[in-house]
Amino acid sequence: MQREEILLKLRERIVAFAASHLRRDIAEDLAQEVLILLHEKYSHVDRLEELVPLSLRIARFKIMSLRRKSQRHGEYSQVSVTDIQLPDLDADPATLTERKLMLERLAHAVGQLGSRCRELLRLKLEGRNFSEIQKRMGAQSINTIYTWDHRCRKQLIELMGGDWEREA
Amino acid sequence: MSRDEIEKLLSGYATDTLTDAEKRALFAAALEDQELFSALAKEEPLRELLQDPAARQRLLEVLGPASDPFAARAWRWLRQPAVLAAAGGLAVLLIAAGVVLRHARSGARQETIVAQAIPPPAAPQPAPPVPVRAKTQPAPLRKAKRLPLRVVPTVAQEAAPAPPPPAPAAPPPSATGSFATLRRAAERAALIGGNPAIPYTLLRRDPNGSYAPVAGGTVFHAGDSVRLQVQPPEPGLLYLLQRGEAGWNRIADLSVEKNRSYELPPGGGVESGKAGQVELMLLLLRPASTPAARFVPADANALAGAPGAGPATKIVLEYR
Repeated sequence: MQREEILLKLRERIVAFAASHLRRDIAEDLAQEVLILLHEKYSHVDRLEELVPLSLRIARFKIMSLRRKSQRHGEYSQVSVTDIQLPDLDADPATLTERKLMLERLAHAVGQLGSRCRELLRLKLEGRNFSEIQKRMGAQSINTIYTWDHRCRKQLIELMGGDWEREA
Repeated sequence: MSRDEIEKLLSGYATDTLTDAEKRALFAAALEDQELFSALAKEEPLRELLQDPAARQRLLEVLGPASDPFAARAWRWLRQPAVLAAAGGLAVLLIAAGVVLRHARSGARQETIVAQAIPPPAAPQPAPPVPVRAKTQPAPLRKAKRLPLRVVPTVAQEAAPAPPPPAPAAPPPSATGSFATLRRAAERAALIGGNPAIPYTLLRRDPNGSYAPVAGGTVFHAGDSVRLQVQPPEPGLLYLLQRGEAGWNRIADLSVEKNRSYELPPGGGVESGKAGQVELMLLLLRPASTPAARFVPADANALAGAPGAGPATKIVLEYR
């Protein structure tokens, strides 16, 4: 698949995904910004397995940024100007806090997993691929590992309340 | 890969577990499928979190130390001295039990084949003739299959000093009743018609091929060849019959003289290689004084029980 073809499809998908969180016109602008960034800053990236995660990451940053901007503008909650905390521009404490909270929720949920899921997740976090995990866990086929992992992910996301991160 | 299989790769995305081929399959499918693409996008926060080594380390701490594969754990456990000692002891016990069991079984097999002759009582007693029913006689004798039988002295054996007295081996308590039943049945059979018994001695073939008398209570083994040594009390025609499935079969007949010793069957012995087999035999002497008539083996029972038909002895050989 050619880069242009990939970018075209990516735009379509990003718009649809962003539109489920933002207004349609904002979603289209967001997708356009992602593509511009990919074109200008990441023009050397042309492989599918690199372009998709990169675009997803940029799209996520843009969505988070838009959300925070909207919050600051009081689009979701009108408060007195004296109650608004000023952001520290040198760091991103909100992101850090969100990550920290998510990590604690994740750690709590991981602690409730069964032994097989814990072992599988541990091997994944150690950087092993599915083939190595299959050998390590003595599974008959790699599809067995895919299935186990799929079930473990489902179980973990349910333990976390249905989503990895809480909506702001 | 099917859509379902590709969807299973989703969980490998956040942990960066996928190979390039798996990534290509997942992303190509995601570009064609909005639902999958959205699911992939929702994995992004987790992926971002897990790219932080500190976060990974924190989760690894929660997950605890690595557990070895089951085989490795089992092998390590087995290598403990206490387990090795216990396993060795158990193995020795099992081997010993196996040897004892095997020995006991072979011993039991050797003792199972027993031959027993139950002759009628010593002296003939006058008794009113009773109609003989051929069908009723084998039934009580079948009970003897379960019994440890012993040789009961015949008339000749009790009278003659040469053969030793029967061994006083008592049957097991549970078999006593059956043994008594067998003996009564044998006595009743011999008393029918009030005919005298024919004295006989059991002979067994020794390794040299010659037949020698055996003591009472002798245990016969598979393949033993047994013959009868008979001294007819009067001259006549002596028949040796063996009970088969279809009835009596004549296995020997010869003209005999009084008090002379004969061995039957003349050509060889009676053999049985089957455990649990009961051979019912009938020695029948038709005195020379009785009118000559064609002997039909099927009539042996009636003939043995007919008054004045001549001496007769029933012999039961049991192989267990």
